[in-house]
Amino acid sequence: MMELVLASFPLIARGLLVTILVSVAVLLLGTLFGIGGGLALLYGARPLRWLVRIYVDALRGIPQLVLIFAIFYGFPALGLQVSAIFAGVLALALFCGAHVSEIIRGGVESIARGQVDAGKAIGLSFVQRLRHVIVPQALRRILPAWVNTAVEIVKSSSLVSLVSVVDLTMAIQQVVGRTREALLFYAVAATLYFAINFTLSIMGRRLENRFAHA
Amino acid sequence: MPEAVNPRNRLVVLQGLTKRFGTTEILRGVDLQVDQGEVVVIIGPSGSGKTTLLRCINFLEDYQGGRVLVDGELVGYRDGNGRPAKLPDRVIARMRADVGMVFQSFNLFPHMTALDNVMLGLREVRRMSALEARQNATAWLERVGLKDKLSAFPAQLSGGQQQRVAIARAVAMEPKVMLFDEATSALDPELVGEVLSVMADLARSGMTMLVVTHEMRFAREVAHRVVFMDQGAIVEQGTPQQLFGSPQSDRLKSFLSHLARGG
Repeated sequence: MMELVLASFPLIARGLLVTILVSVAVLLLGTLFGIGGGLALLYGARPLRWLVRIYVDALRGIPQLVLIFAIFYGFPALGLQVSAIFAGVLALALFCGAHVSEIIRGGVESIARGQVDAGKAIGLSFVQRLRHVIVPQALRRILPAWVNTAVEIVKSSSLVSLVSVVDLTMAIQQVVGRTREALLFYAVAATLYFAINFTLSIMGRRLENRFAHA
Repeated sequence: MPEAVNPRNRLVVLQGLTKRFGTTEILRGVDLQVDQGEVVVIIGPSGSGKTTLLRCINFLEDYQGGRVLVDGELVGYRDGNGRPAKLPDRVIARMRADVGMVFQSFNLFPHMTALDNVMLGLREVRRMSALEARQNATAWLERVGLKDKLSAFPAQLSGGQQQRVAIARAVAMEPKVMLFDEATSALDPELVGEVLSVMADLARSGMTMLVVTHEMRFAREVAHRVVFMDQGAIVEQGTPQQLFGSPQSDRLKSFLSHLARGG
């Protein structure tokens, strides 16, 4: 039994690494999309705002797996060859970006109008108001929701196994296929996913406390 | 008694100011001039357009007709032929820096200490060094009686203290004119006095002030001129003695009698 675990360790470790890398890439890219999308929803000209609104609502209403398949099997039909990992990361990042756009819009809009007025009244420019008045206050409201999204993304990253990326889920499946020890190894997978997400939540709470003020 | 003011320097000029929200007319062609050093108190029932009038002067509201001039400069729009175009953000920001405003709900930045609230504009807009901004902000907070609250956050201060920080934040910018929008309306009665006395002190120092308030005693004692507004227009204006002693219009008479009955 112990031998089984030890023998499968390298494969599981590589899978875990892929899961972490995919999650980090998706979160970085998705947060970037989300910052752009959120600012467009808040301050964009009307046509841009509508475009982003369509993007956000559409992406939030489509199952992530359909998105991944659409890019993985759909892009080649358009003459674009994409790797499985590229398709997975792009699809999940687009999904993540839609959520983060909404989170940022909501966070900024929840700041009292008087704060903007006060910033304007002392002569702060738009960028100065963002930097000194809006972002520091919005961050406190955005951060908890962002951590939730990050946790969701780590879980969703298991979907890339369905386009044959050897992430943690796929690695476990391979090990189970070889050893027939389903209960043991799915318990290992569950523990590892939980460990990642628990760490994320703890880090989120730490950050939140740091931004909280008297 | 307020001293006489030099009438030559028109600091704020409103000409035919018109403001609409959709189809509702909030201001219907308001003409008003405020001279340097003058304290003008605006009174009137709620919904009469007093607050909107103030907010047009530092362009927190745009306007659809007429002109707003501060120290000879057209506020918010490019002066020229054809359709008026809004000025770029940076130019509007520079104009706003010269017009201080105090709000009914204080609007202090909750994530900053009292000192940082006052320093922000000095650093970012007036481009002072950290040391200079700190000395300046400290001096103003001392002047409004908050020497021992420099490092307090807004949530740790009473309403009256918060509003005094807000006044220091506005005045520290050394604006040409100060706008007070019902600065004491949100305060508990026992805290109104400390804010009004800071405002009176400011008026005595020669600050040009436009004050929207329901405090008739303040209007009587501090104002050079009182303006009565109703339904988006100025109905009557004059010295406090004229307006409170012998109101001419029925609307002002009824407004004053309602106030008297209300307490």
